[in-house]
Amino acid sequence: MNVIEARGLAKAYGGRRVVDDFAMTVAAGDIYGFVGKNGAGKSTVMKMICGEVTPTAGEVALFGVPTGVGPAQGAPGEGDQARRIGVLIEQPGLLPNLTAYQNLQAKALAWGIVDGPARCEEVLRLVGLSGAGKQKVRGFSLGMRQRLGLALALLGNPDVLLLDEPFNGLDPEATRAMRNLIVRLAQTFGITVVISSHVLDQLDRMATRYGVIANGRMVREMSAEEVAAECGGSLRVRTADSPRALALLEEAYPAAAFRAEPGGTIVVSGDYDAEAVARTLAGAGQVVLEFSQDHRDIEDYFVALMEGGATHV
Amino acid sequence: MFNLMKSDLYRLVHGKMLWVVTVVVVALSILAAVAMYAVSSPEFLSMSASAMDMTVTACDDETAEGSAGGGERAGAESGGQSVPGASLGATADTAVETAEDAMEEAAEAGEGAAPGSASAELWALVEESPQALSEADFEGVSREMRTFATPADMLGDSVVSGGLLTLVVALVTALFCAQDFTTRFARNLVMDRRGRVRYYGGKIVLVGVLAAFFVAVVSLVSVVSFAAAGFTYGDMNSPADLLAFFGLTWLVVFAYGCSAAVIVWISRSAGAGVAWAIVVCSGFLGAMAGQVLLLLGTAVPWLGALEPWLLASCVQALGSNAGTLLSGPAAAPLTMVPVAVQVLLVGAIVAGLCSALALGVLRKRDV
Repeated sequence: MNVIEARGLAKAYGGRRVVDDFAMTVAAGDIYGFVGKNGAGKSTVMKMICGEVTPTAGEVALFGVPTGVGPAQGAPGEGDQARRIGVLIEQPGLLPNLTAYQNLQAKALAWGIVDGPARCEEVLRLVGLSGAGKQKVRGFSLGMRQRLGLALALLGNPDVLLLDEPFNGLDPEATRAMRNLIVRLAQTFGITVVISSHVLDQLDRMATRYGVIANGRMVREMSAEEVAAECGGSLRVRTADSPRALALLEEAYPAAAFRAEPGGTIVVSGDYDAEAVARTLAGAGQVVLEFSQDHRDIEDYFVALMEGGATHV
Repeated sequence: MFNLMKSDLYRLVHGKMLWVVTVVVVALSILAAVAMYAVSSPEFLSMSASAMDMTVTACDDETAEGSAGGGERAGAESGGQSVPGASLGATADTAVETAEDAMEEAAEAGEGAAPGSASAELWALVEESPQALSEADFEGVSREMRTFATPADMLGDSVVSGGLLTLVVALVTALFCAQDFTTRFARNLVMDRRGRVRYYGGKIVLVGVLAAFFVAVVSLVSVVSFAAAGFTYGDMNSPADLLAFFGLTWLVVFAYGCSAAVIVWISRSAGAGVAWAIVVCSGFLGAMAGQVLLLLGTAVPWLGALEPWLLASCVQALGSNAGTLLSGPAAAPLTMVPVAVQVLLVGAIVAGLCSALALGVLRKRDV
């Protein structure tokens, strides 16, 4: 079941479309890595999904129900769909003069959460802040604030979490703690997580699906396996007779992808076996001038996709 | 909507702002009673009368000199107060009249400072025969000054007219509403447009609760403080009179609070809200606008007739007619409605406009 479906989504500010004809599909149980450059429109999309920002065009369906129909995205306390989404977009909205517990209790009251005090204690424990519940938020570190922001997002017992740059400003230890917490929430409680981040190696360690946004449009959605396959590596081959070599390889490995670069180098990617390729070339009497394997960095891969998207618009 | 209001009340009760402001308001209310007690004491009255006596003597002397000098040098000063026109070569007769005018003004000022007309009588006595005043006279006047016509009149004078109540509620409202945006806490609460309607609705109800809270606190503290200071009442208001007074007081305070909230929601700035509270909700700008309208009214009468329909003028009218809101004569120009109806109309229109703006227009704006 798809928990989030966006189609033809657009948002214009002052006549300029920051998101345009955007489509997105998030299935239940996904940890969805939402990747894009600064200003690509990630936060705006997330705000439109949770209803914080009204789309200029297009529609969002949550749990199969289009927003604006029935109780979908109703006000806190009434619309069941709204309660099923927990949001941490940009900085967490915290009241510095109140304690962590009081921040949670203020939201629990606003949402009409039954047995609010117990739920507040529970989410504080969940994010590892039970010992800091009585401390004023003013004195919290950035990591503690992010964790409290996550606790606020979890308060309504959501089925989906929208997290925008949750690793921003965190030190390596806090980043690891946050990542482990997100994975635990997804695995233990079955929460679907949409997470936007620039920290691609963190996403790489937990995302099950990816979406790449560039200039307000979705460039591509893919599974983690697809990303792994496409980043899995490539083979660079240069022979004395490149056109002949390319024809030989295309015939021998129809499942692999080939790209001829200027200078005669052939880049083989996808489903191939380097040793078999070497044997094929030797068997055909090709004089091999270069034979090397490249392992593509996930960062390079996504940057290439984002750059591709940039030229697309 | 009421869940959001409960959340707001929780935040107010667990925060410092409400309590700090309440302590300040209570202190100011007690201070007002103490100041009134001091001003109405026989010792202060005696001291003021002596000063007045000296002023009268000075005026008389200068008037005599002015007459002797053929009116070339008019009695230009009265009790340190410069008299307009005196330096422009007024005649001796004019100088005498001017000095008398100044005396009358001083007497009126004395009358205005006291809850009753006793001080005016005192100043009349000072003018006629200052030497004849005894300690018993001052004690009598003091007793009279310490007797308000009714409790509503006391509250009207001490609580409503000054503009402190409207200022305080508007300030708290502005700071609290702005906090939702400066801390981004509103993002935890608000979802789509329907959520925003409930958000703004909850806040408007909260302004009403704040207005009721501060009206109750200030009234209670004032009643207790004035009673402790020995002030009494000539008569008691009927329950209907008290209900009308408190209801209308709440309405104007609520209307000003709503206006401050709307300014914050439009500007998303605490500074703009605080500035609005200080300049507008204190009655300062309203008083200035009223004077301008009255001035323009000399040339265009209908403009002058608008002055009583300003919210600030309604607050003043409410303060000065607190005890006779239901029995008072029709006073407001244009429609000739009684003060109570005038205040009700203006307060309801302002509060209604603010609510309509928030629920109809501002809800369309993204949080």
